[in-house]
Amino acid sequence: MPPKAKKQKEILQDERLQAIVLTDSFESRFMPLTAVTPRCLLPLANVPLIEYTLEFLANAGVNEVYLMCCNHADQVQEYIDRSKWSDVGSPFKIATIMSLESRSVGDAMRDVDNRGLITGDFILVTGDVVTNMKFDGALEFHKAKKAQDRNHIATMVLTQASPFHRARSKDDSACFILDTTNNRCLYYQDIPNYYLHDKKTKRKKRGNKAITIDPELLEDVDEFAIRNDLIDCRVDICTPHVPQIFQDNFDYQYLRKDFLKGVLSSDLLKKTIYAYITESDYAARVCNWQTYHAISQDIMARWCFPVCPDLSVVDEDDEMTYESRHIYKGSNVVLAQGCKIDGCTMIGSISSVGDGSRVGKSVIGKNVTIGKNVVIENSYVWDNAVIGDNVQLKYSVVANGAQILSGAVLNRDAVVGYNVTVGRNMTLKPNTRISAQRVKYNSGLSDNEDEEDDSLRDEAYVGEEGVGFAYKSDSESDSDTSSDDEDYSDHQFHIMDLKFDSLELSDDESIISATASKKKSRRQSSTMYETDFDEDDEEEENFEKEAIATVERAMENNHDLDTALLELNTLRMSMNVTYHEVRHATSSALLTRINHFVATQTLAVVPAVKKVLDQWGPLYRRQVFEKDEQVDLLNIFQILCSQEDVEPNGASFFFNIVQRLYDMDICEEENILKWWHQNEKAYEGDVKLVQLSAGVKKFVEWLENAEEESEEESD
Amino acid sequence: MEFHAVICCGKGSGLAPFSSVRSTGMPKALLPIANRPMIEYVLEWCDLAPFQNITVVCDPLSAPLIQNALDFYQTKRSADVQKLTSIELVTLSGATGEIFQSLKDKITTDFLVLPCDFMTDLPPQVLIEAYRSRKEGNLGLSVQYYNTVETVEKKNFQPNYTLFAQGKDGHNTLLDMYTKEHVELAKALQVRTHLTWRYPSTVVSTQLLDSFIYICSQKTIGIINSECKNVAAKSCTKLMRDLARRSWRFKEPRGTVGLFVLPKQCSFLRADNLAVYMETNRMLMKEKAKVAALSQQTPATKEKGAAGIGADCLVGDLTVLGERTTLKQRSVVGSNCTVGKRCRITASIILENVTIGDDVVLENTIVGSGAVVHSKSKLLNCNVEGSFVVNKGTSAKGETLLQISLEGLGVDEYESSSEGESGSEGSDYSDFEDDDDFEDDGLFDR
Repeated sequence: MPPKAKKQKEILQDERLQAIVLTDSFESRFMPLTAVTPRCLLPLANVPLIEYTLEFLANAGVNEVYLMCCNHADQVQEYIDRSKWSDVGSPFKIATIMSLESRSVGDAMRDVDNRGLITGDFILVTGDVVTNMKFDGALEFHKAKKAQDRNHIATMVLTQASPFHRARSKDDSACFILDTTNNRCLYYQDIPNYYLHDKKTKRKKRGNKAITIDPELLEDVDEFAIRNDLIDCRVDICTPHVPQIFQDNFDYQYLRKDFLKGVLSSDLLKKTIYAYITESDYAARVCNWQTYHAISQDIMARWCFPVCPDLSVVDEDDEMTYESRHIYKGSNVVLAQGCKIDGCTMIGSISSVGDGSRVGKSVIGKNVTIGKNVVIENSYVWDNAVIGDNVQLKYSVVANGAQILSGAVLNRDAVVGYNVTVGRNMTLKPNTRISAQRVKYNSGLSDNEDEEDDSLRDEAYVGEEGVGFAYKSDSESDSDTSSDDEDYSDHQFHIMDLKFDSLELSDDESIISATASKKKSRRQSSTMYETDFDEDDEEEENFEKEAIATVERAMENNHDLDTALLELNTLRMSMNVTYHEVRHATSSALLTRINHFVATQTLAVVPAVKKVLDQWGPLYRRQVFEKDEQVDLLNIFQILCSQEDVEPNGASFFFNIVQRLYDMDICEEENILKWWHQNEKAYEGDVKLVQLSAGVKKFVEWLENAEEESEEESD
Repeated sequence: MEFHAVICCGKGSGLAPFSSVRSTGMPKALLPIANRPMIEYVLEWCDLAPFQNITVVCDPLSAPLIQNALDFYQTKRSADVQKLTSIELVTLSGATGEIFQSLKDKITTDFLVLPCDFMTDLPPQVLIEAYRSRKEGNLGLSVQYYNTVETVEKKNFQPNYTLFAQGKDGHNTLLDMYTKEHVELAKALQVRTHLTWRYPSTVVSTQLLDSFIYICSQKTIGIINSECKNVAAKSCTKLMRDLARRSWRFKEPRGTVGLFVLPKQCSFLRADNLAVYMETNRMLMKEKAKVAALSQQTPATKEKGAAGIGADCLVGDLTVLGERTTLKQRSVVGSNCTVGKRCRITASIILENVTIGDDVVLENTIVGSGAVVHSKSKLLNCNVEGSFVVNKGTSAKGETLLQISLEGLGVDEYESSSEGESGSEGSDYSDFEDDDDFEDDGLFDR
């Protein structure tokens, strides 16, 4: 019987299990260390991170492993070539794929698709997973769901924990909305930690006050759960459709934010993704310093048994012995008589601890020399580091080969990079990061001071004898100010998860853009490009025209939002214009629409603005991302509303639009105020602008007052 | 029992044109189910407990009529029960939330808020027991149910998005509620992030129906009066939702509101729209037929030509049925009616004082009190307003036959007055802060 034979063949094919390991996270949370070493080779409990992932894959019964390497790909390849995984006895075939061009998870997935690596269902995993999970359960779940649901394309493995579990990354906390009957994922929403934001300005908190679920996604669902207590360890079982979908949607960057959300909310794809939730297993991801600390502690406390320092041997020569109170010691460790080792501590081989020193809840690498009367708590000292006498290390990381000279104090959240020397009696401020070479956060916007500065070291940080430069990320200034906050004491090791969120333009920059836009008086705005950029002119004009036509068409024919967004995005990419132009075109089309309603007396101003913006305002969600872009949007509307063709309703349009944008959270209060204060002075002379902004002025005043009230209220 | 029951008698906008939203209608509480005012079923249910005090709340216009009904009910009550409890009528002009204001001195114990339109086979003790075994810090209990009736079209039920936390011990905590309309209007179900941090595993049901039964501790009166604005303009549902939101809106957890979901085995119906109203009638008729079948009374041998009344049908006092008229499929004819000859009445409800001519065919139709249906009419799936006169030979299908009157234009007057939205921009601001998306979302319909 031929058909039967065919069926068997299919099953055979299914059984070969492949795994794609993304060794790069395309983030910069471990900078400046990751400027030197790839993230997946950073040591966790003295073992390179990637080992945990590979160990898990070996236990899961994977046959082929592909490592997608990007940053420092050569180092990863070299490591793998020398490791036991490339030996004859390795449980799987392993190959490193040089995907040097990739800039995001999306790029890597498209590369996977281009190379045609995938033959069947595969495990997609990041190179930083630590888990002891029994994978059979998840795989069976995946197969069962696949049999039931033809549209099933992926199963996410999630572990249940509390929302404030220490191994749950505060940066990546997210809600999964799951159908309670079958665990189908209906929606995904990332929600940055509320308490973290609470510490900062109030406004930030307001920006993310709700999870918004489109009721269309909830049709036919009787009951669903909003889960904010899951650890997403990024272990996904995918069908070959997944890389294809990345290929088809060239704008997908992130696995969750773009891909998962995109697939779930797409009307066209009609694919489903399920979640497999395990309660008893340990699974977590080392994705920032907070989780690095938490997972190190968990491993030592044997929560992840049998993944334990004394059981999983990477280096045959280096055996760990396990003692009570979770103390691990390598071979040839020298401990002075008067030193004290507290619980949950690991000391690598050939390391020595001097007299009167105390080490607790820490990991000490190999060949580390620790002087006398040193206090090390909740800290990580990597191989070959030298710690001088009387040093205090708390909640800090000292990388390979670094030297902390005697008397230095690293009290909180300091990261000392490779081969850095911190001078005598220096005290590092919380959140300091030091690297041996000058490493810049590739923001492209960092201040000029750094470049002009040719000194050999940042003496303020490392002292005269020191070697090293402070590493500054753009968001650092933020956290510096907040770290003075007294309340931080209850957030130990908290700032270690420094956020590298959206880049902020320096103030100067935005003032320039504001003044520039002020100059664009009514008629000029359309003609300005002609004089300034002759060559680009045609293209931009075209874009403006086409984009307006696109939005108008969408409104006319009542397209759905996704289609309009896609069209606009495609247009933007093909014409290579900035988001400013997209916003300008969108706003112009929307305003024309509002004006049309009002001019034909179909609707009054308030309902017209509400109707148009409620339906089409969400377009801005994909056009306005950052603070200054919100300011820009307000400027655009200001210009558009002052044009003659919307007379005499310009002022009331403008006021209502601003108010609506605020209501819809497109423009946050903070940025409305910022925009207002930038422009306020310019209004004084201009009668027209004063008229235009009279309503907005009241609104802004109200905003400022309301803020005070709300502060009182919440206490 | 130490509880105080408050029965809310609304106007019954869902039961138009038979309820008092039309001048020809009667208060919802008095609309008959199987020829008894529906409030009697609620009172009977209360007397199963029995509760110490019963306060019936209604609007001033319907007060005299309802008072009559209450007096009549008193005469039927057994003496034992009468001794234990008292029934009192109070008139309110605002929304049901006004209970918390006007009755704050009267209610001295824990209390129940009840609608006047529910029917259930679940004894009150079950709810009381659920309340008594509530978790610590629970201020009250909201009772909700799944629709178990399959014979009524789904669109007649308006389930909410109900957010609750499932406790491991079986105690559910109500967290928030949104109506479907509100979500559709906003094109989004918005769940506060606050809530997800406090209750990380929140369940949202799209099928739960609000029973409008709330059991509250006496403390809630104080809390609501001190914390809520505009109490009199809000419904109890909304106040309970506000209470529920207190459990996660503040840094320090405050009291919670429990959620009790009626077990699926029990039947629970709220006759707040016409389809369910008919269904409740039928349910009772079915029961009646069952009882009749069990008692094995063979119906008295029928005289030839006499009207045929099905075992599952009911005819009121002083009603005259003409020759060869048949009543089938759980039809109910009220008292004081005159039905002509050769009529076929199937699955219909006829209220009091209705006159029906000869050869009339009624199927799945409700005829309001005092209406006249002239002969040879044929009505299918129709609603005939009270006092309406159906002309001879009318044939209608799926229509609502209304009196032409000026007041018909003002049907919504009552409801809109309490939710009046101020269009002026100045006053909007006060609501901005809080009511932005907490705004009136129609949870309120009485």
